[in-house]
Amino acid sequence: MRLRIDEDGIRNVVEEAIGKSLTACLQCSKCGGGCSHSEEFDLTPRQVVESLLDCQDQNVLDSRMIWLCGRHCSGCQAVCPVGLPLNDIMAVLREEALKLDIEPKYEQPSLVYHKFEHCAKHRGEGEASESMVGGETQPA
Amino acid sequence: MSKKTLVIGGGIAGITAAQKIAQNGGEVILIEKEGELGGNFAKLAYTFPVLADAKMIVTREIQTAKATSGIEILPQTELRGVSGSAGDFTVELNSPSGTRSEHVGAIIVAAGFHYMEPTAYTEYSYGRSPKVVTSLEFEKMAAENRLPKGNARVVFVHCVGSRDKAKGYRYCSKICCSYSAKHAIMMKKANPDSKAYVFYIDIRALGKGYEEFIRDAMEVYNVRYIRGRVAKVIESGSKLIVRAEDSLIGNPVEVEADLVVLASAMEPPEGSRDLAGILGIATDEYGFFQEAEVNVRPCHSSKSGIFLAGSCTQPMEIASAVAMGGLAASEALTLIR
Repeated sequence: MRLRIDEDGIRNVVEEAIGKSLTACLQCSKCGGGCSHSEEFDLTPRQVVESLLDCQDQNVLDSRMIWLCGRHCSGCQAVCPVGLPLNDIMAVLREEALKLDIEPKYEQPSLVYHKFEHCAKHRGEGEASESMVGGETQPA
Repeated sequence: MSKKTLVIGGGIAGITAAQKIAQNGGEVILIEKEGELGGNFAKLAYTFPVLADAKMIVTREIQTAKATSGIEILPQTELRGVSGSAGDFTVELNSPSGTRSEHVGAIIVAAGFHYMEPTAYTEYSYGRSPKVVTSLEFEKMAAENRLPKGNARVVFVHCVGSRDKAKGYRYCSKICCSYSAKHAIMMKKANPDSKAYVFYIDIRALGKGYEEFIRDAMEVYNVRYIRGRVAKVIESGSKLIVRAEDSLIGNPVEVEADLVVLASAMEPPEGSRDLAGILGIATDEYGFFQEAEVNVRPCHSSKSGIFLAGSCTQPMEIASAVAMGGLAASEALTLIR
């Protein structure tokens, strides 16, 4: 399927909100590579940015990741080599999705996610479950 | 020709500039802050895009400089002061034997570069794990025959400190793509049982023979290139886990490794801003010496009579540093004859 690319998507809303163009993305993919929660995500942050640039808005708004990313974590934003405010981008996308009556996909992050994000004692467990092939992590 | 030229820095650009001036009848004072000539070139085992013996080449050039009459070489010497103007500078040189004053017509700055210490990259376990090394340390390991033996997996990480506004520099260090390919090839040649992986964002290898060199790494030496910037290196028992996203398939991936080599950025030489202050010349936002005009006057500094050569102006490979050394020499010659 060939995608028709234009410039009229919600990227404009996002760019206005963050005061920066999404074309700044280097597409280096460090964000997704280092994500501690990637097992629970369907898109990586740089895929969200690329999809927005290609105006594949529905893909992004229907994704699960925008409901999770940047809510309890800023791992990707901290390492972004071009300083894209990924948490803000995701917040805008959630707002836009709600405006379109899109049902939140994943309001409550899994307990594993919570545990190792907030308690140093459990971080080892999180790392272990995360690197396991096929992972134990279940959507809540 | 009565006036001398001061060349600051005894790396390949400075050595070349000194040789060319002396071969054309000029007199040169070549100062080097370290005890030996050779600069960063002397720390390498092999060159690219032709795998030649780096030590042999740099030693040959140092010998040529030493054997050329008209070049006075002063190791462990630094510039302390400059006065005067083009064609008529007075410089103050400080060495262990004391301070001396010299009269020179022109000055060539060839202060080289510094490999960034990736201490800010805690996510790569650098400084924590002895199995995470910089490219410069890899060169040393190769020279000392300490590369991993047996069925080892080695991961090379591009853009550590380069193309990274968050933790390093915005610029591309230009040579890392090529030297990482060189390292992967060195690894495979030294230990054909090893597996080599290179994580890249873009492959930038411009110049005669460069693309072929990278392709040889893939086609002849079976080096696996994965597109994605490495995000984490985690210690796991006696191994390392390298995490990234393979962005061509859009999936997070991890590779278990025995050695991780970080291609750390080329940064301005230590103290470049202080040296620029003494000379009264401009540096750019990073601390590299600023050329008067990027395209056609690359070796003119912001001050008449002071010329620039080599990687103290921008990241560059050996061939460009040599070319720039030659150009700076010819500019200096116009002033001292």
